[in-house]
Amino acid sequence: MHIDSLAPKAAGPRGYPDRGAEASASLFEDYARSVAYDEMFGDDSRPRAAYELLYRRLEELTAEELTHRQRAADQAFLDRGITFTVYGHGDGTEKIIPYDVLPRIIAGSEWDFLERGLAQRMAALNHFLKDVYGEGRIMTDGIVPRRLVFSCKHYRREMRGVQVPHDIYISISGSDLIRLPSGEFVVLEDNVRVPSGVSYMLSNRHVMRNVFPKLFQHYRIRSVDHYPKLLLQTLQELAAPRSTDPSIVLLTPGVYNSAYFEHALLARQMGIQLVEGRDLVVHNNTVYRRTTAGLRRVEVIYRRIDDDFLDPIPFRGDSVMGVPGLFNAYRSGNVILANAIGTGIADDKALYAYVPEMIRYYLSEEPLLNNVQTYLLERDDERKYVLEHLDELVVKAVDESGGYGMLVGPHSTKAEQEEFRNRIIENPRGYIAQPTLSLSCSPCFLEGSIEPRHVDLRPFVLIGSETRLVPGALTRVALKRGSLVVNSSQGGGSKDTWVVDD
Amino acid sequence: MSRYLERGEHTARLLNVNLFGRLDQQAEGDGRRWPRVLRSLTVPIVEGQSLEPHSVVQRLSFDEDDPHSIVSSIGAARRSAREVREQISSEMWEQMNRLFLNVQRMRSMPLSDTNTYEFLQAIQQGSHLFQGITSTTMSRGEGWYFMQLGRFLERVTATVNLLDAHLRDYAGAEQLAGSPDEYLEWANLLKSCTALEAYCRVHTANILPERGASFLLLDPDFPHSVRFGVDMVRAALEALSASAPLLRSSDVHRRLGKLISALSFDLIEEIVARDVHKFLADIRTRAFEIHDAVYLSCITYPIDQALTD
Repeated sequence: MHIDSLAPKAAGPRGYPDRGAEASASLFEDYARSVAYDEMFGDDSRPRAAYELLYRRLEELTAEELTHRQRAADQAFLDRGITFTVYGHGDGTEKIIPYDVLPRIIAGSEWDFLERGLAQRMAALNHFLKDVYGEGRIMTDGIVPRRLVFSCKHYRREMRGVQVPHDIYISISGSDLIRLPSGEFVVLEDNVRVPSGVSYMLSNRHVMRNVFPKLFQHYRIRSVDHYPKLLLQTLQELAAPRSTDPSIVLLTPGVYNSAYFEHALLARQMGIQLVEGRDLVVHNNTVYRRTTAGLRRVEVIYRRIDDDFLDPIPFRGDSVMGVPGLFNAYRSGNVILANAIGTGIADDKALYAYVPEMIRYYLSEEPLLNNVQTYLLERDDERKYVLEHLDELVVKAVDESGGYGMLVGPHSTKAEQEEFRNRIIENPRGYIAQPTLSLSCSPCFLEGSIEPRHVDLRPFVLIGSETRLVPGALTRVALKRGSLVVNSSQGGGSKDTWVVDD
Repeated sequence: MSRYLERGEHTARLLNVNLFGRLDQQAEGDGRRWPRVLRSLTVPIVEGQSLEPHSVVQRLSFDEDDPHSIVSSIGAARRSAREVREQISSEMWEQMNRLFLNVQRMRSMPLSDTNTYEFLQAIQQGSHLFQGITSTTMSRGEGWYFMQLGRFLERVTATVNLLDAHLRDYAGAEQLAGSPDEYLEWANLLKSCTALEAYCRVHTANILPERGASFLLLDPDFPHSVRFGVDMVRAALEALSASAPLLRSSDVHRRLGKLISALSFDLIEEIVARDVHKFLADIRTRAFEIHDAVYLSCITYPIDQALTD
């Protein structure tokens, strides 16, 4: 399955020139450093402060012991049903997403900075959404080109002038961050439609505690277990002040959705109903849930269905998972959707390039977190440069996800480059290009030894009357040697992510 | 038999939750946690005894001299099962025996950080399996009601002790109000009674101390709540009284009735306003009285009294 939409990560120089980490532990014998930032070892090949204890503990362990724990963890994921169905087999084979037993550790001070940076970014994106569906000042002032906004596939003209409660369009986000060789975290892309993966943050921690309890004793790891509570609180705040104890449901596409496990887990842990489109009805612009005891009013919907499929009347008419009439109920203010409709323009990959400008424009602040350098192909000089350097750059379709519709220059053939050249010339708005970046590496336990693999980071931001993050994230790993693709659909795995007090 | 088994399961769950549940949230450290765990199991805290988690777990798992340990509880449960072996189904006996042998086998291996979790899980699952087997293979006769009585008396007492210890440690902890810590501690307490998900279904993930206490005490439907347990005790007691004249004439029915009325009609605010610890102590006393009354009227009754009846 894919945890969600995510373009494969840019590729960096391959090969592992120097043998890093004068590792005394035999487990680290094959540990070869590359130019990428290493999460565990500093430039002096000594473990970084936050990793010191983990390193020492690993020195005490044998490969057999680690293998045993790895198996226990895999079994725990299977038992808990944190699996996806392998299609095309027909025998209902269920597989788990590969899980690496070594935690990824982030120092508390570093995390606190990320938290501020993400809160700032989401605040700007919410201002932006209010603005483009309202007055459009940012376009009038010439900061963001009008055409770029209106040509976005996820722009919903139906949202023009719709009153969104508290002006919070995005209440749940999951931006993807990567760490550059300099050690700096940058935002690779924002996911502000229906980001998923948070169940892996919770489950990874749960499993980790059971298979590696001793490690926890020496660290002060910040807890993530209260995420469902914060999510619930956020959803409740959206309904305030009109309703202090609103009835909330989680709307799922159904059991065949690859993130269904996550929907069920969150609904259960929040104590709200999990519903499909057919469980809801709209009457008189009011949304009701069918129950055995009759209809029950619904005030807030945490929807895990894309805009396109929410309501067949204004959006895709062939959608069977939506709720006819939902949009009108929403427009009348009788139901709250989280996230709001139309947030997709805020994670369009071409508009992404303007986020730093949005932060300056709306908040009069300098962005705390930087973007990855992005070439916009509608600009003649940038397009010219990109077309000349297709073999070095990463090209992505602005509205695709899951690693589809992209070209990783250094790993591509001449024919693929030609194809993208034509596509870009034909539709320059549809693509962007970025330099091929080297994602940071984290030690992973793979078949008996510890080796570095590339990772990214997806923290989850909740925006209600306050902006909140639990100190933790989903770390995705490209498990193939040298690979920069962390997508679970393409051989990616995940690991527990610890934020520890410095 | 079922009382001891329930005790073993409860100890295993409590250790499990406290050992693994909050590894990453050591705000208060283990300094207060483990004394609280011991108090809630009514294990005396001996001066000089280690309160380090590993040694507490080791002791509460395998120390035969400690009547609260898992090995003692499961051993006692199996001894009782042997005494009534002809009355229970062979499936029940076999499961009890398997569980006992499993504990014995695991005893020989020192608990490491990898197998502790598996061990504690195995105890809880073994007990659940026994209950499932009992429910599908045993006639609803006298034996069944004795088992119900034992199980629920034990459970009520355990929940009461747990809540008591928790409330004592967190009494007046206003600085915690609304913090992640408060949430996580209450979530932990509910998990110790397998009640977290059931609570969330009723009250959502918004865990408030009074609601949490109310759920564990007064919820009529949840099988680990005090109210539910007392209802089951009453049902068992009524069924047993039908064939036990001494029990029928005993005063426990009246006192149990008063308790049920308090659990059914009092609001949690009223209970807290009066004195929640006294309320909990009264429940505990009732549970002991019922145990003694049943013992006296059904098992060790004086012959002369039985003859005059």
